[in-house]
Amino acid sequence: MELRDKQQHYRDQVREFAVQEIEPLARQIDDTGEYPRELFDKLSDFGLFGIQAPVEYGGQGLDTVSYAIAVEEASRVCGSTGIMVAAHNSLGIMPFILFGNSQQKEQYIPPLASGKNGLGSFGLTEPGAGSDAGATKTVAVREDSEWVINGNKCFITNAGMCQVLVITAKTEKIPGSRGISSFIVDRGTPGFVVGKKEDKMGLRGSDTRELAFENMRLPQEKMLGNEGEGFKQFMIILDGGRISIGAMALGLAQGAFDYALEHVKTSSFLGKPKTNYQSYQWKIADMYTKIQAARHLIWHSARLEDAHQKIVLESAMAKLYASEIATECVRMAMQIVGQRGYLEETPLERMYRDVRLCEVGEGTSEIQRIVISRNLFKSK
Amino acid sequence: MDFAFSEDQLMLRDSTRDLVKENFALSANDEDKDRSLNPETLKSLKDLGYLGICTPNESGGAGFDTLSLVIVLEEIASYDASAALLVSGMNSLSIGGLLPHSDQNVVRDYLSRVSNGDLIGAVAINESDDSYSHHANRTRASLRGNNYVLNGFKAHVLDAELADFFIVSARTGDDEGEISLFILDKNTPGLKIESIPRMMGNNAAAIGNIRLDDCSVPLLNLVGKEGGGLASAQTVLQLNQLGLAAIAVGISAGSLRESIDYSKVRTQFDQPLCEFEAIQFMLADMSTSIDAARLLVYKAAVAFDQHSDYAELICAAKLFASETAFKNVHHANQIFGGYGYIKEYAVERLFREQLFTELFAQNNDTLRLHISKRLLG
Ligand SMILES: Cc1cc2nc3c(=O)[nH]c(=O)nc-3n(C[C@H](O)[C@H](O)[C@H](O)COP(=O)(O)OP(=O)(O)OC[C@H]3O[C@@H](n4cnc5c(N)ncnc54)[C@H](O)[C@@H]3O)c2cc1C
Repeated sequence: MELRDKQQHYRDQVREFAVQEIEPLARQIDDTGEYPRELFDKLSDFGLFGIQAPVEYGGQGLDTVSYAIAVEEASRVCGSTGIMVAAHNSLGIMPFILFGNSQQKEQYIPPLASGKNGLGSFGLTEPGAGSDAGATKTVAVREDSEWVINGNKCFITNAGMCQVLVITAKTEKIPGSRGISSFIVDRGTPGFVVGKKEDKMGLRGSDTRELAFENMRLPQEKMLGNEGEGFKQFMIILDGGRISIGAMALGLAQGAFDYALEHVKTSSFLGKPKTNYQSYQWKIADMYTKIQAARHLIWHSARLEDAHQKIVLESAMAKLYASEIATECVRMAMQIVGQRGYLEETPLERMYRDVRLCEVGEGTSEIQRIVISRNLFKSK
Repeated sequence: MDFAFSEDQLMLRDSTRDLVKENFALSANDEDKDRSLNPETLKSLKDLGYLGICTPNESGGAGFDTLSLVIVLEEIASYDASAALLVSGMNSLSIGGLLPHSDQNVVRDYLSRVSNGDLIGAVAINESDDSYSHHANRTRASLRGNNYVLNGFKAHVLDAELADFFIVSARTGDDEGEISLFILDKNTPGLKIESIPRMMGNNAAAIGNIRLDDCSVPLLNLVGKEGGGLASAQTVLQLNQLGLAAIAVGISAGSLRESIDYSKVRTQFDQPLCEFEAIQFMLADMSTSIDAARLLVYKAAVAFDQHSDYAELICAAKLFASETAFKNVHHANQIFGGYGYIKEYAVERLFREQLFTELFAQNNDTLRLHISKRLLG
């Protein structure tokens, strides 16, 4: 699990930044559901909005391991910041990095890597197309040299604060997941309607919205990649996204663990230090063991990605495992802390609500199990 | 062994189910946001006698047994856990705290006014997070002339902001077990209710902390004998635990009900969710665990009614019902996918409410200690 010096150094820096700048505001962000502009600008200055974007486009040019570290550290102190950073980097910018032509890269990556004028979003999910994302009903019809797009998206992260987003739409009337293409939609495009912010259980500082496209017209240049390759593209995007949702879960688990460990070390039960009791010792041991195992899986898939190898199986396992053990860890921390954990005054109360998303977003646990078993059945 | 309910119990269950489904269900999500019960819901609970459902007829209550209480709590909690918490708290207070001392005029008066919905009371016994020994650790009462003077602090008192009076435990001697119970009007000078801004769920249960600063209480408001309050405090706690166990079953049952309905109407990959084996297995596990938890809760309630050895059964019922409830709300949230994360859906609220049943009225690890202590003699 050794990190390279550069990665370790980055980890220390992000940890310090997260503890000093993000953590003190985490409760307020959850309470108000508003992301403070000042903090947002600090994330931008630190480079958290362009972690893997190439240096020549104004990004940090870091590897996937460093990216996973950044998401983990942000999530450790604030889940809302974690998902904002994760969605922006792996869903917002990544489509441009992977599939953009040079003109699209030049136009979109630098402002996205800064984030100052808004983030990037990825509009895949629809009311009728969640796990079955290939069932997209949004249609793009060619009229003269333009595409006319109609449809709805839902649960789109960062949509209220985005400058541009990539969406999927059906460009060909054929059944199944074929005939889907990706389009770039600039904020303010006529016919692009951003809906109201969802009122969520957790991650309340993260902006999640419905979108509508009403006769929205886009020129051909706004198509990302080749026509009909949308499905293939978003499968690749989601492979990477899974690493980041896994890293987010890991961060929340680590945050809950750190809080619980400190509590056990400084509290007593029936007149004896809590560290004396096996019920606490066991939970602390189990939590840490699971967290380290999850970190192994996540860093392993990140390293495979950095080595340009296939990560379908590994990223699905990492996301599945990390999100499930994160739920367990936050619950164990709750048992350790007791009633007070249920009250707003502890970060555990927030983490418990935040972590719930990790078993659902970017492919539910059930979908991960389908992906994993399908890969195992296929291989010889 | 007879698993059949009596006619009365069946009628009570069905009428409660109809009432809750038609009148409480729609406002439960708003109650959580508003942090108070819907006035109509509160009025129904009072007028229909739910707050004194276990109080004997001669004391002004409806005279049902404890088994009936848990049946009712489950029904209410499956739609509105905060309302169920109020019903549970009030009956625990009446049966555990007031009824045994209803030969005292003041106590009898409070008991009948609670039972007919005139007054809301809250139990202020707990002082810490662990609450292993429900003893008053920091709250003291000392005799001064014709009054007791109380000083101390009570933590996480349910319905504190709704209550007209409190049953407060305080030490009246040097020994740990010398606990006395007092009735304190909410307007007692020196009594301060500190509201708790927000909890994960059950926000309509209006939980608060209570500070007692030289609170003067007339001698007549001592419940039972001085130094003899431990047994009553213990019974109140046990009934609260039983209540939470029943509420946990209700939360589970609500999760299953919502899950079945949703899995039939939501389609993905061209078929309803309920046609996926993974979803079917979840539903089967939910139903199985609910039945098991329900039987344990019934058994504990019947043991309480029959005055047989119920302490361990109540611990076991709360332990098991609340932990299986987690699996159930978790499955339900999973089945709803992204929609389970949105406040419009009942399962979002049920998920937050469930954890309460694990952590309050002694958390589950504490119950494990109680159970093993009894096993080992
Ligand atoms: C906070 C949040 C942020 C999000 N951000 C984004 C975003 O930025 N962009 C975006 O495009 N989407 C986003 N999503 C959407 C998210 O990816 C979907 O919610 C998720 O993929 C599940 O889809 P669904 O909600 O429609 O659930 P459904 O697909 O309806 O699933 C319901 C249940 O059925 C199960 N199920 C479905 N198919 C099968 C099967 N074949 N076998 C067994 N079980 C099955 C699921 O596992 C789940 O348990 C976000 C969601 C949330 C809650």
